[in-house]
Amino acid sequence: MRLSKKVSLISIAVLLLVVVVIGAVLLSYAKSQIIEHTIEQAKAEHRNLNTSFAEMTAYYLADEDSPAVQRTLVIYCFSRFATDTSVLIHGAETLYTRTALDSAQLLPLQIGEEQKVFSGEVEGRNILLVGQIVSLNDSYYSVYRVEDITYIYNNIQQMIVRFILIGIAGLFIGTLLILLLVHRLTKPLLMLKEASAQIARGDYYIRADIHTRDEVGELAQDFNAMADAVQSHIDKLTDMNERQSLFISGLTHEYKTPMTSILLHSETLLTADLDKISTENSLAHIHDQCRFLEQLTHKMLSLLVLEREITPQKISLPELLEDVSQNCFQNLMDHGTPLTIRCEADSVTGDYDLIKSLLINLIDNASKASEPGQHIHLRAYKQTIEVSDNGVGIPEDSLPFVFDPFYMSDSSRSKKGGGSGLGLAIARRIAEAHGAKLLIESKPGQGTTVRLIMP
Amino acid sequence: MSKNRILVVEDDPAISDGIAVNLLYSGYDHVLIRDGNEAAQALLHDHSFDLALLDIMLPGLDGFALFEHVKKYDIPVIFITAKTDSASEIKGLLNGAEDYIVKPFDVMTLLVRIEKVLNRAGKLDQILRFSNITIDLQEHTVRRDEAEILLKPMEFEVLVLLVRHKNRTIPRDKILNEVWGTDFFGDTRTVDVHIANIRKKLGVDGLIKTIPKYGYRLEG
Repeated sequence: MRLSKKVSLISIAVLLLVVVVIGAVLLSYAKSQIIEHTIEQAKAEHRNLNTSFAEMTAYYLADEDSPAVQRTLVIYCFSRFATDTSVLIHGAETLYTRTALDSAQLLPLQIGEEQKVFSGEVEGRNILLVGQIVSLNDSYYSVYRVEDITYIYNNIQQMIVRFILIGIAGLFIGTLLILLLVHRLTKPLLMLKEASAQIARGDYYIRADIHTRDEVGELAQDFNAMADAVQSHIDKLTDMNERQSLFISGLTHEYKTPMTSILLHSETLLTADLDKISTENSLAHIHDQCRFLEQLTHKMLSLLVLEREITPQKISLPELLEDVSQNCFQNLMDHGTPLTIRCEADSVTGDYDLIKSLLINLIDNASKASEPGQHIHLRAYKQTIEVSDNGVGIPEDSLPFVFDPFYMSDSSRSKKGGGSGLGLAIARRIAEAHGAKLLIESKPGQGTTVRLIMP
Repeated sequence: MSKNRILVVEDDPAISDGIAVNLLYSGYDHVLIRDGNEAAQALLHDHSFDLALLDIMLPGLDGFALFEHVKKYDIPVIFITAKTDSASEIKGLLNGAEDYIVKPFDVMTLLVRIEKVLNRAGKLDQILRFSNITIDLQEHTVRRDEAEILLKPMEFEVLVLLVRHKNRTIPRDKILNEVWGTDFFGDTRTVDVHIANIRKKLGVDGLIKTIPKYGYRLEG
């Protein structure tokens, strides 16, 4: 069963129990109080009546009066005080009554007794009977007060009915309030449940939007923290997967073009009788493409080799920059892009050959991006080695991808520059292997700056 | 009919050279362009092409954008693509007159596709002549001088393939694929049997050469 249902049912049951018990106790108490009060009042009134009646009778009655006169006088005096409920009996004779009830039979009185009370049902009516012996001139009179208190019982019954109605209404409102409150209290739990179900379905960005200041709120916070962790892990994995599949598709594409021309030319040579020039041309293409594939394989291997740890050593920067410049000299001369060197730092720690190949690669890129006559700057300062050019630059939307393997900002992947698209990817791997940062800044038409910042 | 003229737009020099040398060898005229924008410009002045081979990834305009220009002149197109996923994109573009080919492709596949597209466009000769043999593609008849030679349907198809690619060695499996289709379950001996029958019926020795372990070639 759902928690909200459980809590609601239990609360409603408790509420019901409380209402019923309190109602029952209160009602029975009220009932006995009312009846007791009625009896006490009746007794008091009856006593007053009797006293008044006795005093008046005693005042007027004389011993010498004949019994008939005495009888008339007694009746007269009684009638002065009597109400509709009063009954006067003398011996077996009823002197005064307005009711049909035989009071003496219901409540026989003995001489010398105090006030007596009878309360009960007679012929379907609730009757309250108070009886008292009044002594007058050595004669004993039974005086009764016969009261129909059915209306009191009716009132009590009406009160009970009203109470039950009010109780039901109260229960109804109480139930509604409980349901509302329980719903409000358990709503965060439901939201949490919904959120976790969505996350389980793969919507890792879902969070629980709960800000209550209780245990549920804390749980939600922890839950969100957990979801953050899961999402960042998933994102990392997805990113890695994407990079990997991009790498593979890039590699496949990179192999496809040379493979196509090798297949094309070799099949042509095999099946057709070409003239000597065409034959040589086809063979030259096959040769070039095989060489390109060989270089590509070599670069791929160096990417794989870089997975290993490197052995760092102290590198003298002036020596390194000189070495790099000598290596690039011929290439830069061919392009007509001279290199200027500024060395403002002594040394860095790293793998000499790898850093050197990284710098040669950056300078090679800078040269390809520049027009003849434009300078390329190689500069070392603090822990930074910087290669900058004033060449064509890289479009802004391409910048985030330039370190991705096989990425070329020109969609046709034309090999005008002769690159494979692996150079910067290898450079980044080299930087990563050193724990260094490789940052690129570029503006189309103004040039590019690549900085290697050693840790 | 005069020679068919084919526009080739492919940026990789090795591939476009490979295509060009084969088009030349198979008797097509061609124009080679290596840039999409250049191709669009060139089409403004010269658009009397029977077919265009368009690479998808081009500098300047890419193959799809260039297609919009080529379409204006009712030139049927064969796309060349390196990516299998752009094949689905091409399929969306195809409307009967166009086809595509995925890198790496072989020469025979390219040539057969070109023939099929040209044929659909009604730009291929329906009469093939070779030495004293005449093949009428519409009537499905083969004559040596005036005498009709009765060939079975598959023999006829094999002969057409050999004549179309005369002086070119056609591998057995290529013949099998092109004539019987890739769904056919026979092996290359089926090809050998049909070649033997054609040789017998034509009655000319040495016309169809056997290239051991490779295939057949019609020489002349």
